[in-house]
Amino acid sequence: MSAPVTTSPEFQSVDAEHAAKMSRNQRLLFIVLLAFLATAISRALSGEHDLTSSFTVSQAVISTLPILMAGLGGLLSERSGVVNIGLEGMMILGTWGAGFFGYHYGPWGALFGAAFCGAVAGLLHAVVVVKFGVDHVVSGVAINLLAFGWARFLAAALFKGRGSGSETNSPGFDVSKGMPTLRFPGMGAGGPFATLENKHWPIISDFAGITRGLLGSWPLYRLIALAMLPLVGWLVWRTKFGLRLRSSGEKPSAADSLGVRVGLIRYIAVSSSGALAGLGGALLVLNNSGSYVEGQTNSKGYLGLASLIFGNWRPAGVLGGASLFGFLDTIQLTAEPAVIGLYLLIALGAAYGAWRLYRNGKRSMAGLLLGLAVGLTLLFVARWKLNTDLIKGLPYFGTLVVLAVFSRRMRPPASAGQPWRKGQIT
Amino acid sequence: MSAAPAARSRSKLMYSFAAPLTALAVALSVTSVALLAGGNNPLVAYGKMLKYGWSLDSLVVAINQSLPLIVSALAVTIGFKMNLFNIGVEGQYRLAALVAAAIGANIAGPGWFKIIITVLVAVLVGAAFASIAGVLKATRNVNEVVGTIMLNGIAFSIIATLLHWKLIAGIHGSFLSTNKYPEDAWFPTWNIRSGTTELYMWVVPVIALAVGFHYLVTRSRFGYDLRATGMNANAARTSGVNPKRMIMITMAISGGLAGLVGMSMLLNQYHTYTQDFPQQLGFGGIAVALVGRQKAGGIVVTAFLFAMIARMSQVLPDPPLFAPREIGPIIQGTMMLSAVVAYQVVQRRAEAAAIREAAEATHAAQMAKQMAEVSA
Repeated sequence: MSAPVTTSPEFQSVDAEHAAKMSRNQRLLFIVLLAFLATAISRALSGEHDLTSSFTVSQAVISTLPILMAGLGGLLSERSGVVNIGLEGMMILGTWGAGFFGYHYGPWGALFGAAFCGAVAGLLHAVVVVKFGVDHVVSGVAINLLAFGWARFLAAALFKGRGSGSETNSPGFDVSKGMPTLRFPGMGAGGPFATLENKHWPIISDFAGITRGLLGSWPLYRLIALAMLPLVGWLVWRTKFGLRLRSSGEKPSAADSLGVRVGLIRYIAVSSSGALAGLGGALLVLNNSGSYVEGQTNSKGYLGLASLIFGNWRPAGVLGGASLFGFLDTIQLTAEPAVIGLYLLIALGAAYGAWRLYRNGKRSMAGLLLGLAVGLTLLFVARWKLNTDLIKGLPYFGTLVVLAVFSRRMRPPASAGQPWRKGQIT
Repeated sequence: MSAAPAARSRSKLMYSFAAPLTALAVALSVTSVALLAGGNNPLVAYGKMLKYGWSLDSLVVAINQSLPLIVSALAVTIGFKMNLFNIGVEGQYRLAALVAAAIGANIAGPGWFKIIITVLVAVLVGAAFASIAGVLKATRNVNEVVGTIMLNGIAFSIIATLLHWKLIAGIHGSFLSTNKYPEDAWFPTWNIRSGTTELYMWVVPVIALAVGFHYLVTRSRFGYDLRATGMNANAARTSGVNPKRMIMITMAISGGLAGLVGMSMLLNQYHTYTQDFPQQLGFGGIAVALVGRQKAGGIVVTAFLFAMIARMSQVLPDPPLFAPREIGPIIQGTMMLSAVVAYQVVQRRAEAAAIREAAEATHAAQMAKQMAEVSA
């Protein structure tokens, strides 16, 4: 009586999923390792130690987080089916809110005030898009215009004549009040990691520098921002609410027919999206000793949008995109000579991409990337000093290239940006 | 039976005026809240603004400042006609103005020649830059909204780089700017009141452009293809329109128009491209296009209104008000948002009414048929 042991189809599919997941994590690890090696090699060859110094890395973390916040906000919104071009405006309102509430109630006030201001703009976007069915991009552009105007007006009305405040900047405040800073042992200036970093040995010093930069010092508000990444990932992929949110973004009519309150979900998602973008604005203010400055966001909201696309609408991808953009931002701001090392880094990345494409049989695109790699290597050999202003355009250029090369393989939420009304069949 | 269409067209007419008026009313009430929050009496403020706006100087300045907004709105609108959203007008006009200024001021020849070259270069640069997004959309299916946002970022970095290039730009005053045009290459102005009130004659080409745009969109073969593609791409394809080609052509035209946005400022106002060259006109153009219902006439009126609001809010910081003049962008942004909402509501009502009428007509026809059968 021994029945042949067969695996039921369900089990097989679970196993297959498991295997695919393992390989995905492995691939992620592989990419991170590859990026690390490429950076280390570029650093060693170019002699630009700033490329992996702890200072550069810690600054890169600081520039990454606001972009990450905007990107995660975009993720929430677009996964629920609402395209959010208004992230930039929500972030602008966040900087204003942080400047105002921070001045009056300290750093915690800045965080909550910024999130609140962003959420208000998000709610407005949601009402216009969900209730009135206006085109998502049109509403987003309007939000950006409005936020720009309101921030200007409110700054002129409420910051002028208060301490060092003026029409274009708010008086700062003590950002460490009630905000403890987490410091890891052994990362200080005289610690073992610092010693290793200063040896400039290949690989080892790079590792020490990057570790020191990543673990250097974490004020609580930065930790809170970082915690948003797993929080959003868990919320969207591991909860009932998340399933409903994603189904609203994929096929609202199907979700609606199963009793999901698509409109309500979108209200919540887009408001939270605004809160996250606002939080990103608060980080900018807190990094700037608590002072709001007009134009502080400097298109970081758009960069968040770019990192969302770059990262294929997934949290880990958004983190990848935001880190890359934050790193580029830092290089051009604080470590100008390291730019030459950057050529080599991008050339290595392009060569890798070309190899991948060649294996997939996409000869012409592979040739394009290979040409880019060769060109950048030549620039490196010639040690051509790139104007740092041109580096500001690199994140946008990179996103455009990624879109052009991989657009067929990208998976945006199927219904993002399409106006939908309850009862409408999609 | 004959009363119904008349009533419908009357209500349609009412709607088309009611919507912009509602938008204005909402904008004014929001602005009033802002003014009240700042401790100002809104009525006093509006009175001052109207009084300041009601003068020849203000009128001329508003006309002058509406010119870039008109062109920018036309650039956005041509894309809208076939559901293409060119958010990149901002980057296109600034890059085009910079390159045109750099080339125009550095060539030899008579003044009119420099002007023609400047305008041509601006159109070509704008068209070429926007075409990147058009080609990517047509060949690689890259969403044009995302594509043009990325191109904006790229344009700004190219502009910052070019302004540091010694060959074409240098520090004049406290800003980096391109070399200034010699006076013979300035576009003529009309001295209405010597020294203070000058009307930019660039208004003539802009009005011609708006009229030409109207005929291109509503009366030409191209305009028909454009609108057909926008309304139903599949139907247009069946009738022989090549949608990919249309995408590329439309983006190029939109970018070419965007290239013209900066010309009134370049040829009539500043005669150079500086670091503080007016910004946000690309986004302002989107607002103007939407409030102006994407029609040439509506755009001209709305652009003038926007420029007038900007002009009138200049009086706010003066005593006795001391209110921030930044009220202008708030009015404009609120108008844009409330206008699109109002148009959407009106359109939905009209659609619902049309469906109801059709249903009633069908029902009546069926009833008549049944009656006929019964009596037979």
